[in-house]
Amino acid sequence: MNLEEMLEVTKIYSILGLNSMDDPIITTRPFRNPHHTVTPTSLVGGGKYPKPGEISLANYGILYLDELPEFNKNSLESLRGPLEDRKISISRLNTTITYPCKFMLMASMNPCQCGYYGSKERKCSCTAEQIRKYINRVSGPLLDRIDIHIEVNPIKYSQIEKKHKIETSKEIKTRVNMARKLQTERYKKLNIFSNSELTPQLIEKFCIPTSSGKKILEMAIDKLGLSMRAYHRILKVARTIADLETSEKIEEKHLAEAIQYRSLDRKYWQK
Amino acid sequence: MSILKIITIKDKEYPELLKKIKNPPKQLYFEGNIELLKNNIISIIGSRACSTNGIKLTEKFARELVYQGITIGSGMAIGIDTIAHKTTLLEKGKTIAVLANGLKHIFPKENKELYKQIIQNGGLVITEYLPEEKAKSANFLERNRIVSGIALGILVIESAYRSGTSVTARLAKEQKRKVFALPHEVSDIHGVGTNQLIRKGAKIVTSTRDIIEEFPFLTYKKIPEEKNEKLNYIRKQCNNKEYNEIYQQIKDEPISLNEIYAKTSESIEKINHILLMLELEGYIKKVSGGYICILEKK
Repeated sequence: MNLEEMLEVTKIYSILGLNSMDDPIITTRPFRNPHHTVTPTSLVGGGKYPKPGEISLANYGILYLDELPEFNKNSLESLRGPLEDRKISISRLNTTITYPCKFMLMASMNPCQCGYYGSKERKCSCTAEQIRKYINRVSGPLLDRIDIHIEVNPIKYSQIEKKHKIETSKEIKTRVNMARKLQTERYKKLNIFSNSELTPQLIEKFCIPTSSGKKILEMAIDKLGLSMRAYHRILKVARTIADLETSEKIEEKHLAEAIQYRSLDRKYWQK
Repeated sequence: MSILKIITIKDKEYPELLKKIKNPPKQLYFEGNIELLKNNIISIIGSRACSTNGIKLTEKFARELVYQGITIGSGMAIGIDTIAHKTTLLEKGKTIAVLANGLKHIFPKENKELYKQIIQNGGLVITEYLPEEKAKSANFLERNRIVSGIALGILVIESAYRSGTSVTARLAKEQKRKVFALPHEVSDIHGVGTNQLIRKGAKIVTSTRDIIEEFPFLTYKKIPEEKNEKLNYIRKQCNNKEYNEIYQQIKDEPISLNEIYAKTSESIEKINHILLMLELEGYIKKVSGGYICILEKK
């Protein structure tokens, strides 16, 4: 984190008295993983004298929600606004307070109640109706705000083939840091740090795809039935993918990858 | 809709098969083509809470039976029944829905649209209840005797232990109808009922041929393997060399990105790109567990 980010995070933690005496400044990105029984108030913040919630504690860091469909519906829906605005205003009788919440949302879930839908190893024992209900616990508008959906299939030990060279975490780290630096440099004058903070106006300025890329995007939006929000988010993800390759232009392959990451929008869980 | 159509047990449209059951309905209210009752009918039945595998099997058998010229009967409940009706309509076959309620109160509500479609496509909806009568649980069991009564035989796709489906199967046996059941794995909760039926003497069925051969007056028409032909046709169309390497990996069963990656020499980025292009151009489809090949014509 850079100094501005550190100060912002430290301020939030000091409201709740969470920083330690020996090391009062928080220097690493926060990682928060509230349990799925979390209430909407503790998630977004609140109380008589509003305190910051988990989303503000995850400012400039990661908010990880394990078992996404198990979360209370109200808790999940309360995330919608903050995910767009990157800040949260809590109004109470006594006071109104705005906390920042520039977090990255990460979540994981099973494909169905028994966990084996789509698996080749074991048969799923859920009914079609049960699967539909389980998936529907995560609402469309929330899914729409999640940029990258990845399906992970179980893998057997024997399947781990060493045919391809695998990029290590260390190598990935340098790549990510480089992309990050590129972005801070690019948005220096705009008082933002990363692609994720781009507004629609800025997207039009910084995320211009090549003509072939544009064509693919048009086709995809049409065929896969993606929303306008998805369109902007795909552009941002494609910008990041291009940054990771230190490519100035957003090419067709970058866009294709970004579109591929939006698999849940395609309603593939329904028949 | 407003004209009440009715046939009684004395009418000549009333099917002979149904007359011979223990307690035939005295009258049938209907909507659609009543002549269908004279056709060779097989009723497809199964659980309301069906598995995805059950859906697949229902689609397969309904499609193939329609190809053999069979009229498909069922109860228009959710689950297997709905799939059976829908597939039949999709394959331009004839279907008969036997309801447990009056024609003015279609149950379940979700199937109002299906009800209209059945009638529009030359199908038939029958019930022994007055139009104003609402669905109640006792009616369903009563209704089941008609589902099997109008048919030459019933095909049980899925049924749990002690269910409406097993009641229908018992009634069918009493009415001396043929009972066909699909075998299931021993531990499969969706197949407890069908396995039990097989143990009690229902005919075990693994293909449409097994059903048709049971009736001497029907002849089995070989189902052309158009699936493979179509597949080859589509494969030929996709003649881009790079695409083809990836495309060859994708078959009927879902294959995940990682599996494709392990089997080909391309990079993940490249595969992702090609998969998207193949999907956009309508060659493949993303489903749970990976990608499958689309077999329908574009």
